Amino acid sequence: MISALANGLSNSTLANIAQNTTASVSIETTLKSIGRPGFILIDNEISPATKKYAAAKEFLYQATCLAIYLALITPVFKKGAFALGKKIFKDAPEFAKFKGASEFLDYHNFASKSKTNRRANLIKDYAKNKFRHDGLRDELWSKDKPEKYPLIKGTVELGSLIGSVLGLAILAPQISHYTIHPMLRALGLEKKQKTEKIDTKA
Amino acid sequence: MAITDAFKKICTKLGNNNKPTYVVMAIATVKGICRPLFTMMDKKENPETKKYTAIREGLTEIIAIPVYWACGELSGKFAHLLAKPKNFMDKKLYKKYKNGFHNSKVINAYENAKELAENNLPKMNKNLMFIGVCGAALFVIPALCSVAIRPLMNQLQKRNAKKEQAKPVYNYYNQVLPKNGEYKRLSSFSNVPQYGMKVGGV
Repeated sequence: MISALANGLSNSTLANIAQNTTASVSIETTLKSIGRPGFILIDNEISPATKKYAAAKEFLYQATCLAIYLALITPVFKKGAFALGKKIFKDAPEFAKFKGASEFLDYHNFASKSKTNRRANLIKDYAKNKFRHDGLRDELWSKDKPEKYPLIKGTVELGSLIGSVLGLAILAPQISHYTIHPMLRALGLEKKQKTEKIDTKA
Repeated sequence: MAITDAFKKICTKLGNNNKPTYVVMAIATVKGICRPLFTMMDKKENPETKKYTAIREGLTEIIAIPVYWACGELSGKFAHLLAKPKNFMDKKLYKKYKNGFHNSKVINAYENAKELAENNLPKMNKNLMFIGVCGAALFVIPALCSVAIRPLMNQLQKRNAKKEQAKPVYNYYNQVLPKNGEYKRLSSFSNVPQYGMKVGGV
């Protein structure tokens, strides 16, 4: 049991997700959209109508956050950070080796795998023609621990972090302010407010 | 150049070690400032509701920041307990090793398991931190919020209600209504308009 747990926790894919700002924020937002409404619904001190209203509001808020995050922030800030890093860090030639943030993150995924695993994946159809420039494929194929380019990884992650903060803390509350009430009305939850006196503060 | 170098250092550090707690704590901090601010800026909402919502939003994030940090860091500590050779080798071989059967097969298996445990320790640490942060988002924070915020808000409401009661309320219409069946003397009525903007006078 403990051995299985230890092996599961040694999973490279999970480690990549844990160290990837975008993936971890997306997973956490999804969990919040389940957890927060769930806790509101099991609270016995609130009236059923208020519970329904508050849980729906919280769920819609988290769902809006996730949609904004995935649609706007992730692509813009990831790509933007890579391009900006290329311009700012002129003395870092490693940026020139990659066409963009996506190719770098793909490379980083391969570099994080064990040599055996990496080789098995590199010969698969989808990866046969990948990284055939600047000696990247050789690096992945022959080295036990290929270069992971922490400066590029950090630049992309910092971009994602700034994007996450701007998106989830500033943009999402503003957008959700205009979208949540019409959505609640469409669900028939705000009409009840007038007749049943729902506590909208909950 | 100093700023570029500082950025380079930050990015390299983040690239080498991007803890799952960084992004969630950054988001919670900015959210804790911006969400109540946006709520208070809303002109359409009732001032009392605005105040209540803003305090509740601020409190949620104040609770979230240390909980994210604590859950992430505490979960990460378990990696040292799990990253042990016995979890990465055959049980029978480990028993033999423990009982003192130190032949080449057993020693080789133990050495391999030891290396694997050492190599997997950082991965396990990150994965456990991520699981801790997810647990905080899904269970700990909503649970703590529903336990702590309601009593706090109730106390605030009670305090507000006491303040409201203590305020002397001037009711213009009471002056007009007869008391004990008798009308007041005309001279006791105020001749100052009781509505609109007050210009000069007492």
